[in-house]
Amino acid sequence: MLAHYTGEMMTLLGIPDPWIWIAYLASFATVIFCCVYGWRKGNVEDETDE
Amino acid sequence: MNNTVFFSVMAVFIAATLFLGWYGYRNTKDNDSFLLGRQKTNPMIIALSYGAAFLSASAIVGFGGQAATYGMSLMWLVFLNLFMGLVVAFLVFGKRTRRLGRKEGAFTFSDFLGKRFRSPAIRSFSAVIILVGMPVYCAAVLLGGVNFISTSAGLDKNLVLLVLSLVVAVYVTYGGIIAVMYNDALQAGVMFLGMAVILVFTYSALGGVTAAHEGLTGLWDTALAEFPKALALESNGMNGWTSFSSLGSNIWLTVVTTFLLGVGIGALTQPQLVVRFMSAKSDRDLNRSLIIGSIFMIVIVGTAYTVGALSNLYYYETYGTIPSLMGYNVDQLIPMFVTDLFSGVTFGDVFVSMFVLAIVCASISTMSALLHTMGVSGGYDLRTVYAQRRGLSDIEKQPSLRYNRIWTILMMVVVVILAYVMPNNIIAKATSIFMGFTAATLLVSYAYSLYSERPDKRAAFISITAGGAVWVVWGLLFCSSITNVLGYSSLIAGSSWALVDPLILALPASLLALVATLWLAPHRDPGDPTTGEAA
Repeated sequence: MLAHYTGEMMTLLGIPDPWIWIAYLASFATVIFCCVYGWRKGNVEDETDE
Repeated sequence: MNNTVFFSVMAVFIAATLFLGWYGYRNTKDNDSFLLGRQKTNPMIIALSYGAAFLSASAIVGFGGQAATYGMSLMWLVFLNLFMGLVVAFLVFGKRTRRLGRKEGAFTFSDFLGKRFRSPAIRSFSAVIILVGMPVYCAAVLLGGVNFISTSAGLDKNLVLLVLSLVVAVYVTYGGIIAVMYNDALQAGVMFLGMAVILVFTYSALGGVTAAHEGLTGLWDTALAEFPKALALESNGMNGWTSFSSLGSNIWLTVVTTFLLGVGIGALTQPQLVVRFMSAKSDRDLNRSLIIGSIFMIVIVGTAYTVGALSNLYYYETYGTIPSLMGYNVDQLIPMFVTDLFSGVTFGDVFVSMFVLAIVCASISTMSALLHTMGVSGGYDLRTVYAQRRGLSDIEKQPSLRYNRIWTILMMVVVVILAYVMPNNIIAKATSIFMGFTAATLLVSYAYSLYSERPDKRAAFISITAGGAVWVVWGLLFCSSITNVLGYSSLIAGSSWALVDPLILALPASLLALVATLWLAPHRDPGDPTTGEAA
């Protein structure tokens, strides 16, 4: 199970401390942002090019 | 490890490296192409070159070893590497650096600062910081690769050090930035493959992702009962390898201020990375680079820190021991783990060879970027300022490829000497010291130069001086993690303040000095960009 609520705290992939699994989530979220931003902005003309 | 397999892999790799060095040499026609290439570099090459230059053996071997001690707290460094090292670096700093760099005709980071502030002195100062501080970082990177190869392949350390240095020196000296970036891209591909394989094998050996994490969580209680060092870590605030340390504790201060902030923020002012922005053809290419760059970065550092922490569980389950709690050199933990992980596995020698090659790639990609930066700091930046100051003739003032090459060789010699005299276990520390110092001195002024239409050189000077002075005083007298490396005790040893990284104090001091100068003193005209004289 990806996430599991034990009654006291939620574990994610077996990691009990939110301060750790939030770091994983934040890292993956940043990669997704980079991919989406890079894809969208990488396919439009660059107004600032010399 | 089967050395026949390893030597075969290395021979192919060195041949490919030298071929790309030759390609760079063929395309390096003049000084400009040595410094920035053709300024139309492919987005994928930019992304892989940036990532490979950014993430060295320090990131994998050094910080992976630290993750074995401090656990998955270091995953915040992955986030900071991605957020600060990619999102902020590319979108906030990179695009403006590329545009302004092209507008000012700048070819290096120091050249960029000098031209933005119309100040040869700032250019010289930046070049001197690079020439003084970067060899230590470069030597630490070299040492990381050498330690790894000599441990894994059972080869003589001196021989490995000389061969690695020679290969890098040859292709950087003759191929310039083109050889550096194309080799970076090749090396990044090898790193990606090697780390991905390690991640899959580690989780597979530990029964899957969730089982591995649960096992590591449960191991902490066992460690507390069996290993005295675990009790010592707990008394300093450690709560386990899958938990963050207690807020404000000694370990929290070390992890947060030294590893997370020192390296996370320091990434923004790395001269060797800034050049990658300037080599891009357009903003659009920089945007495209983010895709490959982010995937590359999360696989490399995410794997290193996760596997570093999980190595504790692997060792306990396999041998009933935990090397990170037994006083082993932290820089040896990852090499030991990988060799153990693949022993007895089908094609294990191939996988170990591939991983060793990945670490070789991580080392020499960063080394080559640093060596190129040091070479041009002496051969182009200092030489140009010197020629202007001495009133040399126009011909003598012309930047010369020869000077860059001479300085590159000279700096390689300095790096090799440093690698011989440096202690073995300071790879991660040397990385954070260099990144912290460059951020403390240059980050505020660099950001100011990007976002001010008429940046004031006096404000920049005061900011650089304030940041540098605070960093040096705090780092050399009070910060125990730096004074211990240098072989003496902090003046406030025993206090929690001794664990605070100098960057935490130096960066606000640098910012405060800049703001105070701009507020209290009237702005002067930036003057003539070509002479550096005030109007």
